[in-house]
Amino acid sequence: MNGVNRFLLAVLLLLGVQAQAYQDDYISVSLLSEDSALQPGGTHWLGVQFKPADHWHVYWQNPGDSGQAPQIRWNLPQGVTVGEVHWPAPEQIPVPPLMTYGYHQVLLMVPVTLADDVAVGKPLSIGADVRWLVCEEVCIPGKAKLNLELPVADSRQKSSAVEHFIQARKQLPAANNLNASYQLQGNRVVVELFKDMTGNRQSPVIYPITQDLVSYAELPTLNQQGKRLVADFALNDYFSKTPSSFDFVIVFGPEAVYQVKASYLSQGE
Amino acid sequence: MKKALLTGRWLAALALTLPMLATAAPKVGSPAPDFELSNHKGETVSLSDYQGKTVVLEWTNHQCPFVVKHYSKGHMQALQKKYTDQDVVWLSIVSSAPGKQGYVTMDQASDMSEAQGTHRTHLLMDSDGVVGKAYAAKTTPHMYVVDKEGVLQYMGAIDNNSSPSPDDIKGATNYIDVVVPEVMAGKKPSYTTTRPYGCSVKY
Repeated sequence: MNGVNRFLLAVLLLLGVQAQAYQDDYISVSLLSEDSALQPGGTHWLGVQFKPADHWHVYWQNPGDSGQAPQIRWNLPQGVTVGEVHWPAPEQIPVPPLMTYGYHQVLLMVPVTLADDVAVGKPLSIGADVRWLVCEEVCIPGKAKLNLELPVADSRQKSSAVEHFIQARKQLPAANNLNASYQLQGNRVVVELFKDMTGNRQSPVIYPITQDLVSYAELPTLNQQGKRLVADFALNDYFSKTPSSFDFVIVFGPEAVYQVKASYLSQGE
Repeated sequence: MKKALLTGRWLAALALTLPMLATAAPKVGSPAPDFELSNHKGETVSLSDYQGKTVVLEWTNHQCPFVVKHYSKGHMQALQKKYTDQDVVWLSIVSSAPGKQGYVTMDQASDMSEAQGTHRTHLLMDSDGVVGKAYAAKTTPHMYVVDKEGVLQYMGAIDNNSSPSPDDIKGATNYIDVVVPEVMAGKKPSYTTTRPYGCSVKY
């Protein structure tokens, strides 16, 4: 973004004019809708797209040893509700001796639902107050007030942003019936996942969602024991109480991304 | 002078802590690893110099936005003054490697401390990161509280609001402001470990 544009953007922000996109030297952030119009009674998808500059990144819901997840606060008209962010699987972004989790580009999608009685014809104004931390090795915090005007219609039509939603969906954890448990064994956290991995060439990568339980920098050792995959983690330095479950995302390969809840099994059970 | 000599304060402590240094953070309730570092005047400072006093360790990087959050409006300086006035020792440690964000030469360190208007006891240089790694310091800021006997009583965040905005300091619980008076009084602190937040330490 050149100086003139940045000046104009600053003026617009000062005037309280809200934009659909924000850009500075480190990142561009946009509020997108999968559909070009919203339908009364319908559920659609909105997303905040983060495009950091080359070699810069934003963070996952669990940022790891440092960093911070983006935050979105919605300003919604009456009759409109949004759900939670659907987080795509992240990447490991090591900062030795630390480990962090994040994205070099991401669309954070949320479902948006209209009440049945929302009037057709009058456009809806949807606002998102977004805060983020974008890092290379150094970090720059940022924030923007984004706004999207969307018509309300009886039929739905894809917007020009649809491709971003299709791509992001491929990285979302898929529904699954994987069964898992975890135990504390001294300074180790041992997870058993009922999944036969024999035949898989690549080792899966595990991204812990539950914080303060396992170490991030020391990667787990993975072993196939019969039909069970056993992952042995070091305990997190900030472990203080035993959570009822250890939630994580496990990536076996492209389009094999699952979210798993490993319930706590006390020793002897 | 050895720059970062890691020795136990007591022989027993040495035996207990040294094997753990490479892999894990020190444990609350165990002796804090001793160290020897240079301050910004080139004087050697060790943790064991302060036996009998409560010590706060603060990992810092003056260019990190989360550190700026706590210094830009004088909050960290006020906290330093409040406790150094009560005979607490406050050691700020810079583990940034040469060329990385937050690294300062001794001359720059003097100017920086003056510009920040700090009330710390010493600003210590750990440019090879040995002490930072012995404490498993992950972020800036990252705080530790050591009691009069040299036992680690707290490690973790400065407060419970991980936002980078100074506006969010008001209303947050400052863990140091809770823990230090308790440790000074010989009580078990209300908080012992909290998840630190901020920039990664630039090892």
